[in-house]
Parts: sequence; C-alpha cells; structure tokens
Amino acid sequence: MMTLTALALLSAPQAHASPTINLASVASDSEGVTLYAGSGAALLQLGPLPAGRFGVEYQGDRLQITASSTTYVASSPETFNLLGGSWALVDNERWRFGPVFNLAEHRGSSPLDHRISGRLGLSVDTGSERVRFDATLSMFGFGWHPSGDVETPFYTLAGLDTGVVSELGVRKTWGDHRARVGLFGILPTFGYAWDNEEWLLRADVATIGARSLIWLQAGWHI
Amino acid sequence: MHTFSPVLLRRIALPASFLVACTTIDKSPFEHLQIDEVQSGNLRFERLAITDSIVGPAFASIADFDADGRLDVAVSLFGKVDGFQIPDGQVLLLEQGERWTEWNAKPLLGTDQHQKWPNGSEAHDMDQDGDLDLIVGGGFLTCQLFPWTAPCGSVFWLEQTESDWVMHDIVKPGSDLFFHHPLLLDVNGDEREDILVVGESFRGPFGSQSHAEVRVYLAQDAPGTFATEPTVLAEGLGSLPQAWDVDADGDMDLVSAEYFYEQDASYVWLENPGKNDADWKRHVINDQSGPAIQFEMVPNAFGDGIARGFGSNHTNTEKSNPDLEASQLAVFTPGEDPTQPWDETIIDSDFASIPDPNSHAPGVFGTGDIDGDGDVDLLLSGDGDPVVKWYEQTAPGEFQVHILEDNFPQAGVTRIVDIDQDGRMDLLVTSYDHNVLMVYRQLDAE
Repeated sequence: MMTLTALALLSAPQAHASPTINLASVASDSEGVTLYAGSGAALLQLGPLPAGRFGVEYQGDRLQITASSTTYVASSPETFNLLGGSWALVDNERWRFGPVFNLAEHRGSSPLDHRISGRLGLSVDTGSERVRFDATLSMFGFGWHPSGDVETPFYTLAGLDTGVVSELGVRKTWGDHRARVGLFGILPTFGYAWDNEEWLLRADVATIGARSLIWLQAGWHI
Repeated sequence: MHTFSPVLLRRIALPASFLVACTTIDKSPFEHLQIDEVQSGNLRFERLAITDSIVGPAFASIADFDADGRLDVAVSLFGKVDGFQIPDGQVLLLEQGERWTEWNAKPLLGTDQHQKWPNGSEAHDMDQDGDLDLIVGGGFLTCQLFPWTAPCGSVFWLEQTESDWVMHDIVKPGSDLFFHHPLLLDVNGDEREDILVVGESFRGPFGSQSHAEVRVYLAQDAPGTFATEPTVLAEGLGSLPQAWDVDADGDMDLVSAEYFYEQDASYVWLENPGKNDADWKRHVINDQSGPAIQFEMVPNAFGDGIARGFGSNHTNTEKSNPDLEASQLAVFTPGEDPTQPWDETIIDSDFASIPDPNSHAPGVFGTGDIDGDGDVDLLLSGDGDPVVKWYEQTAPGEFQVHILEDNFPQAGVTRIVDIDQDGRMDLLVTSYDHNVLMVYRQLDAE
C-alpha cells in the first residue's frame, strides 16, 4: 500500500531539459523554451494504466518554470496538472542552489478526487561538466480539496506526503547523450535522453517491485 | 490479473500504449448464474454465482424490497482501485424472480452519485410511507491512504419511490470519519427512531488519527428527516454496533468489537444511562484478543436461555511484523455482573491470513440455524485468510468446523437466510476479490 501511495504521489513525470523526472529543479541541461509530449504507463499490481501527457518548460539563467498535464486512462480518467518553478540563488559552474515550488492538481471521477497540493523546498545541482549530482527536497507542503463537502478542505501535508516528493540523481553526459540514475521518492529510477539542442527524446523508468512508471517522450526546443 | 512479463512491458513501453487494454480486475472467475453443487459437512448446496455488474462486493441487506413476497438483496459494491483514486461505489438491488436462480439487477446508487465505499446497510421504512428504504454508511480508511482522494465518510439513505430511488444525505461525502453500518434506534425516548452510527478514523501516514465515536442523528417531526448535526453519545465502539439490552434494565445498550479506537479493548459495551443528559458508560468485555471486527449477541445461544456474544477479531500473524494475538472466533459469556470482563471460550483459532500487511483474519460472520436442528450455528468469512467456514453446533457450546470455500478471498455478507422460503436455511457470501455474490441453496441432506 505504501508503495502504491508513493507511486500515486509521483505519478506525473516531466520530460524536459531538466534532468529530474517530476520536480522543478535548479539543474539545467539547456536553456530556452521546450515543448514536449509523450506516452507512458503506470504499471500497478492490478495492471497497466496507459497515459498521455504534454507540457512546456522555460529555462533561463536562474529561473525555471515548467507546466504539464498528464492523463491516465483508468476506469475513470485521472488528470494530473503540474506547475513548478525554481530560482537559482547560487549559479556558477560548480554549484547551482535555490528554492523550488511545485503545485500539483489531481482531477478524478468525483469532487472528492480533486486535490491541489503545493510543496516548497530546496534544490541543488553540483559536479563537473560531465558528471553531476542533483537533488530536490520538498520541505513544506499544503493540501486543498477545493470541491465537494470535504470536512477539512485545507490542511498542512504530513511529513510523508511532503518528503516523499523529492528526487536525487547522478547523471553523466557525453555528446548529445545523457543518462541518469536516481531516486524518485522511494522509487529507483533510470533515465536516458538524447538532446541535440533542437530535439529531445527521453525515456524514463521508475520501478519498485511490481509497480513501475515508464515514459517515452519527445521535446522540441523552440 | 496481468503478470509482469517482458512482452507486456514492451507493449506498454511503446507510444501506442494508449491503446493497451486496461486491467481485468472487474472480472470474476465464475460465470454469471453458474450453478455448482457443493458439499460441506453433511449439508449439500446448490451454489449460484451472481457476477453480472458485481465489482468489489462487500456488504448486503436482505429484505423484500419490492413487496412481492420474495426476498431481495441490496448489495454494496466498492468497485476496484485501478488508478490513483478511490472509485465511486454502487448499491445494486437484486430482485428475486419466480425462481431462486432468477435475479433482476436494478441500480439503487450509481457511480455518478459519487459515494465512495458504500458499506453496510439497513432496510427500513425511513419515511414511514409503507415501503422499504435503505440506509447506508460510507467511506473507509482507503480514502485516508490515497492522498489524491479526500476522506470520504458519508451516511445516506435511499428512498424508494414509485419510479426511482432517491438519495438523501445524512452526512455528506467528505467526512473525516468513515461509517460502516447505521442502526435505527430511539435514543432519546421520543418514540421516533433515530440514526445511530459509529464514525471511525484510521491512524495513517498522511496525518489522519485513530478515533471512534458513537453518533446519533435525531429524528425530526417530519418522517424521514433527521438532525443535520450529530449528538455524540460516547467515544469508542467499532464498525458494526448492535443494540442489545446487556444489563436487562429495559433499555437498549450498545455492544461492539473495536478496531480503530486503539484503547486496547477488543470487545466492549456502552451502558445506556436511561437519561438524555447522562454519559453512556463504557465497559470492556474482553481486552485480550487484539483489534476485532465484529461482536454479536445471540439469545439462547447454547439452548440454556443465556444470551452470549460471539466475537471475531482481526489480526495477522503471518505478516513480517506479526500481530501478537492469534486470529480467532470466540464466544463470550457474561457473568452475574456484565460490567466485568466476560468468560471467553475460543471456538476456532485456525486462521492464517495472507502475509500482506493490509490483510487480517477472520472477518465478519452471521448466526442462524444452518442445519435446521434447532440450535445456533455460525457462518464466518476468513477475510484475509481466503476461507469461508461454517460452525455446526453439535452439542451445547460445542462447534464442529466445516469448510464451505477454501479460496474465497475477502469474503463478506455471510448471511444465513431462507432465501427461497423452502424451510431450509440458505447462505449468502460475497468475495471482493472474485467479484461474485454466491447464493448457496440448501438441498436435502444425504
């Protein structure tokens, strides 16, 4: 159950020039605006959930903004809308560091399945040109059920609900290629990206036991 | 169920995965209206599988809803979790036709009415218009474990009208507490039946806290109307309370198993103070059995005129961090002073829940004279132990266990009733995992 819960919290991966799977990050592998779309699936114990998504990302010198929408095709469709941003307070070749925010909206079958959650945290990116370490840690969060007759619609997220939405990763870059291993919450992840500064192709897998997320996505740097 | 095969993985990883079929968790291993003959102990049954439109069944009320002289079944369906949210539930009325094998399904509550996890129900003429309505408790800890779904507790009743069933909220969906089985009981002595229900909460990883409280929604002057704010009688009790005059003082007390209250009691009763402004006093029947799911008082249980309480706890001794208390079915006999702990006799402790930490055994049970010999027998769900057993009382207080099903995971309902009115008791059992309601029509003994 906890694995499924964690997976649920992490079920809308990003695919953009940022190396992270889900969260806004100060790490940046290319600048500008990227449009992207893709297809994937959540492999749950009870079977696969196909999904489709699209999104847009802006990366400047210090500012990163990303937005996406992901829909899973279950017995009732579920949509995750994400908006995240980061600001690199420290920005040099060796270190990038700064605050991040992530807003996630879930829309499901009923008013009770509508939740908006927000998380604030810190992000760091460090290393050499070819091998770098990135981390985005959520530290405070709130939840809001804006629809229905929810008895407690607004609340502070519990530690697990906040902390599990964090990412760690080590990535290696060679030419147009990039590979990354990391942790996506409690899920070990592996990702590969081909990025020629105009086009981006990316594959990500996050898996634990019989539950996995798999994504293939394409992006276009405008 | 799908298995995680490389072939499947390749199919899903392709961009065409949008077209991959979704899960088959709403399927049943049984054919709709499949009939098999089964033997259990000395009894023979014709077993009818009802699977059409049955997805995730758990509770049922049995009554003659359509007033045609035949018993019908209102079955609550949770649906199946196949995504990141808790599905909306349904209540399906199965109207019995002229033969016991003929059942006409009619939705009383649809998924478009957004009630999650409809639980136990009670058939009752709520609005006193001469027909049976249905009051239902809703919600469960599942909603507290899925962060994208809000807590989903609710209480509602479904009014039978000439053309339709109309839903009336008592507690609108979204309550922090969940509710399992409302009772109708005149709590304040105004000769109107009030709605009594236990609200519970689970101590979960997302901030929910362990709690249980007994709520009453007082009946108002107009039939079918109830107070919008609850009166809390006391803290404690569990999902399936029973009104019973434990101390024989002429008013109804409440007995129950406890699971979520976490005050180290397994079975308790609340003493009716007899006055509106006094507290209901809590008495512990047993505190040695661990968390428990059901307690039911049965009059003359052993044929000696004494009412006894049967109790099933709800533990898992097989998981990686096992519960200390054995999973067991027991009977409890009150002493001269029922406020003191009752004598316990274990009937059966041969249960092994699957190791999943979310599974526990045994489950709910029903009581009745299954074999027609004039005494009380029991029908029990193993719940996390995928077995269904019935217990034949062979001598006063002596029970022989019989296996009815050995692969029937998360069984529910467990009702003993003469469904075809032929004079022999029949059995009704559901399996959440198998998406089936089984009707066991008893045949002549060999």
